[in-house]
Amino acid sequence: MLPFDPEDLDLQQMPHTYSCGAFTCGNSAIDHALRNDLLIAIAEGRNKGYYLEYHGSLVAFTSLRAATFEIDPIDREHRAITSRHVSGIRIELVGIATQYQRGGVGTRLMEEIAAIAAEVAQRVGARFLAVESLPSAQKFYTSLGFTPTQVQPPGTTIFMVLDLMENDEAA
Amino acid sequence: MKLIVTTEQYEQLFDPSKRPVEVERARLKTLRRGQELRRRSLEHQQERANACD
Repeated sequence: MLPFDPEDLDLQQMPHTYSCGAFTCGNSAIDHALRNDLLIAIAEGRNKGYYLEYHGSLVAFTSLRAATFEIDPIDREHRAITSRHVSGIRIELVGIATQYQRGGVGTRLMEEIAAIAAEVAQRVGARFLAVESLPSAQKFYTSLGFTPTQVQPPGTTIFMVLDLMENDEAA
Repeated sequence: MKLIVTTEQYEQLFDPSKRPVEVERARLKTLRRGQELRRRSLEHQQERANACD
């Protein structure tokens, strides 16, 4: 049981000087990327980072960057029919502190991230929020309305997208 | 980022009316809840900024 309600935490934008403290999400690659690649990418303006804190400790974080998606539909014979390039936003990293996992923090984080992405979409034109999901997280993203897009063998990562367009604008 | 999709997935990507109802319902719920959370985060941020003035 969490010592807080995830909805009581405020999402903040991560500065490139952010100190992660003893944070670990249990995945050493993500922990390393947070402390090295992400902070550099934020400093260089290539990514934006967002985080939730509880009493000064990092609870969860994610990073976003603009992306262009090349969408290739294939027919039943696995032939590419056409190719369409669409602007969007990509979720690059997601990490939740091990002691706070499975308590609704991820949902709270992604819901507000989706809203941030939707604001960008409305202002500059971006259709999808996309994430490359581990198989173990696919159900989580599905519960938020993301849909899988890539035909892949079982056990590998899968790209999932969330349409950011309001229904009365979508066609 | 290259996304390979079936023709059915392609249609659903761009046309909400072709998506399963539960998927669309989940998407809209996420966006609505996200907007409320965003509003609150920004409100608290403003309160903190005002308190420092």
